[in-house]
Amino acid sequence: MLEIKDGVLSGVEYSKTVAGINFMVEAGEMLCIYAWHDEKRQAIIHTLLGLQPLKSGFFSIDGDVVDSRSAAYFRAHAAYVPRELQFPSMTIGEMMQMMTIDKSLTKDKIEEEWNKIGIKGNLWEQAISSVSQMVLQQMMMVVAVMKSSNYIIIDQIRGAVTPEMIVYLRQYTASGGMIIIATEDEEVKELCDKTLLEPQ
Amino acid sequence: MIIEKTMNIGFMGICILVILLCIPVYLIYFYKLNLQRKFVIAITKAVGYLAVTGIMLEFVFRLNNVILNILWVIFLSLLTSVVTVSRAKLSMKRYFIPAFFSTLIVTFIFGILVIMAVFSTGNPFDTRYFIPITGFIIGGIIESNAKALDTYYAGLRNHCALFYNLLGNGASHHQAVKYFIKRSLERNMLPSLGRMAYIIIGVTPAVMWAMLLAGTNVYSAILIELLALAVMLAASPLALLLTLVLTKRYTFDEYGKLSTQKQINETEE
Repeated sequence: MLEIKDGVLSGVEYSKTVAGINFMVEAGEMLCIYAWHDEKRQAIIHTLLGLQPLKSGFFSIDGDVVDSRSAAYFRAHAAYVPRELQFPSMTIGEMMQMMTIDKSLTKDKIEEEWNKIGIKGNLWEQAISSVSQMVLQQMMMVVAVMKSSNYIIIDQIRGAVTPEMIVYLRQYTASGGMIIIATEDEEVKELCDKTLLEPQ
Repeated sequence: MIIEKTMNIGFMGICILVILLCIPVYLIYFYKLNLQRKFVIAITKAVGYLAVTGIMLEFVFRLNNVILNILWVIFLSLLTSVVTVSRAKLSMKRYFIPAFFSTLIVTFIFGILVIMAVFSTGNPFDTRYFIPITGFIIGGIIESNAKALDTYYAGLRNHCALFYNLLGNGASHHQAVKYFIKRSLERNMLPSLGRMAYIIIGVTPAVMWAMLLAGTNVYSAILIELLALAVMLAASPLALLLTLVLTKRYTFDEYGKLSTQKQINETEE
């Protein structure tokens, strides 16, 4: 279970405008952070990744408070798919290998999973710039699911979550994982179990 | 490896030096190269720095005092750190002390090790060995580390997406910065590797030519040249890594995130 209680975000210009954040995500659930402004969306994602603290309130995972001492531990059990995909020049394979610490996730296994959501072709050796950001993010979502981490945070690029992708992500939640997805897609919001709107 | 002869350049030598400098002056004038100002500044700086260095070194060599020798190296390390940090376009307030300590530590350790191992002297702080060897090391550091530090921090600024992607996926701090360290080490080592790869003739093996001029035998001169290159190739990246370790607390906050200037200012307040 992942929970923020009475949270006030730090790292935003007017933190009082993002006060009173309360939500809980249980195992098997998908939470949608819907249509937040960039700065605030970034702040809450960094908070959920344990990269910055709340200004006030609590962020806990399975009852344990996430702070500077425990953040790295919780991140080791998480997966993250960013929206910002401006990476240095490297191949897709190099990017995926950097993303996975688990060496059992081999090229063949990953490509097999990519095929399931319709990403075909020998893309492993291709440069990152050779695929669109949407496709790259889909590839990263697949790898995030394959990591079998406790929760996944997705900062979704508009249009990246296709119906095939939703089915794939739901297989992950069905096995007990939690997904938090920040999106502007209303279709994705409708398919999530819970929605967190930006505090007004 | 005893230097059998000492060289003394007299008045004739200085005259020839001036005549030689007249050649580029004439070429600049004849071909209207528009380099007059740069030439004058370069010569003035070279003469000025060498004159000041010469006076100080004369003093150091005459006294051959351990404390003075150590102070000289500390002074050079201070200068090196100022130049390295300013060339890397980093905050002097935050990065000077780590750069200084890493330069000093690496210079001392490598300097003493090399002197003890190669020159078989009982006194590693003897001016005759200590000053030149530490001078090589510091010279190698100053050249490579400024660019390497700039590469590292510019990489983190411009590709922070990669950094946060790795951190968010459970990478340790070291794993998340490894790519940037790798790039900065490449930047650090390329100049030295380039020198070693093309060291055939010309001015590149300057140590070798200087030692031959001073009367050392050929094999010793070549060995010393290789030693100088090897020491620079070893010391410079280690100084860089040590600087990165020491500056970690200024670059990243307690959550592992990149510190912004605003956060640094708030911390200082």
